[in-house]
Amino acid sequence: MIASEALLRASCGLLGLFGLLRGAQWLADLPRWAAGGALGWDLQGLRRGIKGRSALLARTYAPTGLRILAILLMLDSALLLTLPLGAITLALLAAALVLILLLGQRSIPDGADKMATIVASGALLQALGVMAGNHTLVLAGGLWTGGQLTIAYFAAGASKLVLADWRSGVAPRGALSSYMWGSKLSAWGVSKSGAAFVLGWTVMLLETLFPLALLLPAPWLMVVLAGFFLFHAVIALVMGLNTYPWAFLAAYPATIWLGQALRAALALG
Amino acid sequence: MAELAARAILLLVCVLLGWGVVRQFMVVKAATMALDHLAIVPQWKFFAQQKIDGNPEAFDDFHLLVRTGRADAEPGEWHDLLYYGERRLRHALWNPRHGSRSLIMHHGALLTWTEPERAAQPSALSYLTVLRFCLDRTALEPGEVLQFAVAITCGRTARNPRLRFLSAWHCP
Repeated sequence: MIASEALLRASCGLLGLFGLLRGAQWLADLPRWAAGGALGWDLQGLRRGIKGRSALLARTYAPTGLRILAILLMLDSALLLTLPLGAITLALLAAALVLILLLGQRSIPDGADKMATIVASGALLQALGVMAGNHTLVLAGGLWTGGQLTIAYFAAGASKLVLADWRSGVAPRGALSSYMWGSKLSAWGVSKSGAAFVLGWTVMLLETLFPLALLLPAPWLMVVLAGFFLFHAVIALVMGLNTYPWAFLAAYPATIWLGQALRAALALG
Repeated sequence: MAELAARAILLLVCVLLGWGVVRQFMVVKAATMALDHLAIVPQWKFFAQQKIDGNPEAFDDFHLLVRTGRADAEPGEWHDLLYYGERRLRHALWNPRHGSRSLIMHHGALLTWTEPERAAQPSALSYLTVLRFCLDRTALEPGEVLQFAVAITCGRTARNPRLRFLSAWHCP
């Protein structure tokens, strides 16, 4: 059985990798979010609701505020990646949670932002539990992150299964032959007879059946997760969604922990 | 006391996860979208929103087109201002413009939506966002005005653009 501390350390390190990449990408793209531009907060702040009315957010989302947020996320992530577990981990995880949330809300948060938010909050609960010697909190944190990852894969598969266009292969062919979501290679691949159909069913079945993998012994669960990481890497290559592999990878240690806890609870060895 | 608080948190986690499972199969209303955006009860329907089923345009590529003109002359040719070209290998590791470009495209796509049951609706903000983008990227001479359009094309074979939204004429 892999110890909670080791898995928590891995979560922190992997979240750090995601944060470094996310922060660096924000810094590289800052000119597009400048005031006076299409995505400047002077215009985007006109949206309805709390976000648009908050004077604090207006300052935070001004170019200088955004730059500070991105730099802070990179610094925080570098420390999460390098420092051993300790009391400071709590502060670093709390800061990562706030920074990822704030930067995500500046735009429309994508799945990677949402998963990273979940990893940060779950790891925070687990770290609190480890520091305080409270197993219930460790359980809550592991269940939150591992549970959300399991729901994510299951829902991604099941919601495709109920759509006729996915079952027939029309949807994967459409997505992978577009410029927006595909590439030259994927368009060529799905143009072959039956390829989109087989690909679609492979993805749907693997995703829908993922919850069963939690019942596997840890080494086998790790093999399954390695396969899913490869899947994310291929998606990054084909669709350009390059932050997803790191955000989802950061949720794997908690998922391994959850699998172990589930097997122990069910007396599976 | 600490144990009681921990149990309350565990209970909350269980409730949110249970709610999360149910919510995957619901149509999310705009009013509760914050629960998704804040990752409290997120939806994980990657490329499987209900709207794609039976919709032949679900995965069509959006193009933001602009043309310029003068009051006393015929308008100029349309130019692709924002579109998705061939993906580069490096985008698998480094793709900083993905977020901002997708957001502009999202606003452009919103302008083409007319179904009232959608969670998001076309708004003046979307129009102004796209307009500002066009004005930023187009050098207008004195007296010139600009018009933008959102068009779609299908994959790599049906490249003839189909018009989905046409703006008014604007000057800076």
